[in-house]
Amino acid sequence: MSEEILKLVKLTKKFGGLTAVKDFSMTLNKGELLGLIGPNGAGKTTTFNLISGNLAVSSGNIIYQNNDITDLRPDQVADIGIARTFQNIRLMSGMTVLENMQLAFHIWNDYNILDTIFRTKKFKIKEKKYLEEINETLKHFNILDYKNDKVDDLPPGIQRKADITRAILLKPDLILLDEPTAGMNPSETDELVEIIKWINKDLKISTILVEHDMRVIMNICSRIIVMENGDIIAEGSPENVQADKKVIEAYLGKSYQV
Amino acid sequence: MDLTYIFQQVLNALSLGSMLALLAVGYTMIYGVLGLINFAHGEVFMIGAFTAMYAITGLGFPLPIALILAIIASVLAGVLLERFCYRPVQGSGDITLFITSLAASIGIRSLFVMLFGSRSMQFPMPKYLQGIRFWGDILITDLNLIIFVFTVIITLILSFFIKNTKLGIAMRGVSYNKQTAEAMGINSTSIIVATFVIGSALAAVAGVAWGLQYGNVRPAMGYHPGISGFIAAVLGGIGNISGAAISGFLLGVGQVLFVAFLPSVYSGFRPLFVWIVLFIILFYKPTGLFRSNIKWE
Repeated sequence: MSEEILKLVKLTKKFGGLTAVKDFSMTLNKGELLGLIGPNGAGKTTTFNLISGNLAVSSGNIIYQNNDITDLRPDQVADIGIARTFQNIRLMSGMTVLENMQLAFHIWNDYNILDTIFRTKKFKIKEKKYLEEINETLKHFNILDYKNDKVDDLPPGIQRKADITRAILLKPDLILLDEPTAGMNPSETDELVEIIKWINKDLKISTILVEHDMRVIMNICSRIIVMENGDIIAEGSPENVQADKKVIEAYLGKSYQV
Repeated sequence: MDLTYIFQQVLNALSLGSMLALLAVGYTMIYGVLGLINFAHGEVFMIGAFTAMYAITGLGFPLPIALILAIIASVLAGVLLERFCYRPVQGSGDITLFITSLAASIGIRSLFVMLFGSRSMQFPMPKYLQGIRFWGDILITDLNLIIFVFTVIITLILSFFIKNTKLGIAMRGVSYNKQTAEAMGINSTSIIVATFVIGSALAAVAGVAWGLQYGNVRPAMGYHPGISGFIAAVLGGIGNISGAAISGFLLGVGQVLFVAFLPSVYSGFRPLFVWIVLFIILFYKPTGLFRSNIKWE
C-alpha cells in the first residue's frame, strides 16, 4: 500500500452562482504521476489554484502529507513543498534565466543581510552550491547556454523549460504542471515528455499533470482522472479512461457514441 | 551668462536634485510592488520633516537623533498607509487605488493644517552645517555637498541591496509578477510592507534635507516635491531604481537651470518645468529614459 501525499476532500469552489469545482475528492500517492483531464471549464486549473492557495476554498479540505493546508497562502504552500507552473509561462520577463532561477532559492537561502554585504565564507559556500545546482538542472534541461539571456528574447520552448526548471529548483515533493506542452511543437513536446518522466521517476517528485495533448497523457500517466463541470466523471488507467463512454461523450458530444 | 554661472547653478541644484532622487526612488519602488502611484508619498516626506523639526525645536534633540526620529515617524506613516489605505482596496482596480492614494494625500495634509496651521514653521540648522567653501569663483555650501554625498551613498547601497540580497531579489520578483513570486514561496504582503518601510525612510531623509536646505516646513510642503519625485520616477522608467535616482537629479538641476535662464520675476515658475517634462515624456517616451524593470501589461 503506497503512502498518500495529497488528498482532496469534497473540495468545492463557487464563483458567485457558478460552481467551478464541486465536491471533488481524490488522492495522490507518493511518487505517482497523475493525469488530470477534461474539457475546457471542467475545473482543472481551478483545482490547481485551490491547492496552491491562489484561490480561497469555498468548502472542503486539502490534506498534504497528513496536514490540513486548506487555508495556507500561496507562499506557504510553496514553502511546504508544493511547486506549480501556470498555463501561460510566468517567467519574470526583465530578468535573465539565471536570475529567474535564483528566485526559486529564495526559500532555501538562510544567510542574512550581513552575510551578503560582507561576503562571508558561509555566503560564498552557499552561493556556490546554489549556482552549481542551478547549472546542473539547467544542463539537464538543455538550456544552460541561455543562462545569461533575458527571458523575453527566448523562444517559447526554451521559456517553458526554464519555467519548469524554476519550479524544480524549489525542490518540491509535489509538482502541479498546468498544460506544459501547450503551444509547443512536436519535438518540443517529446522533449517535455522526457523531462516530465525524469522529474517523476528520477527526482521522485509526485506529479499532477493537466494536459490537453492526449498523446502525452496516455503515454506517461499511470492513472487518469477525468473532470467535467467540477467533478470526476471517470478515473482509472489510460486504457480504461479512453474506453469510458462518459469521457467520449464529454469530449466529443453524444452523437459520436456508438 | 558664462560657464561659471551655469556650473554654479548646477551645484546649487544638487541638494534639490538629491531630494527629488530620494523621493523618486520611493515612488518607483512602491509602484513596482503594488502598481500604485502613492500620491501620499509627499505627505510621508512632510511627516519626516515635521518630526525632525519638532524633535529639534520642541524636544531639543541634536540633528542626527532628529533624523532617526523622522525616519521612524515616516516609516510608521508609510506602514499605516499600506495597512489601512492600500491593502483593503488591493485588487480593486487602478482607479480605486489612484483615488485612495489621492484621498490619503489630501487627508493627511489637511490633518496637519488642522493641527499646526498652514503657515511655515522654522526649521533650525545646526552651526556645523552652515559652512561654505570656494573653488575659484564657485561657491558651494557644506549642506549642499553633504546632502548630495549622502544621497549618492544611499542610492548605491540600495541598488546593491536590490540586486544582491534575498529581500531585494524577492522585491524584484514581486514587482515583476506577484502571483509567480508567491509560487516561489515569497510572502508578497511582507515584501510590500518592507518596500513601504524603505521608501518611507528615504522620504524622511529627503524631508529633513528639505527642512535644512530651505529653513522651514509646512503641511503643504510635500505637494510640489512629491509631484516632481513622481515625474522623476516616470522619467527614469517606473520600476527602475537607478533610473529614478538619476532622473531625480536631472529634474532638480533642470528646474534650477530653467529659472536661471529666465528673468528673476519668473523664478516662481520653477514647478512649470516638471510639468513640461512630464508632458514631453508622456508624449514621446512613456516608458521613460531608461529601460524599465516592469513589464507593462
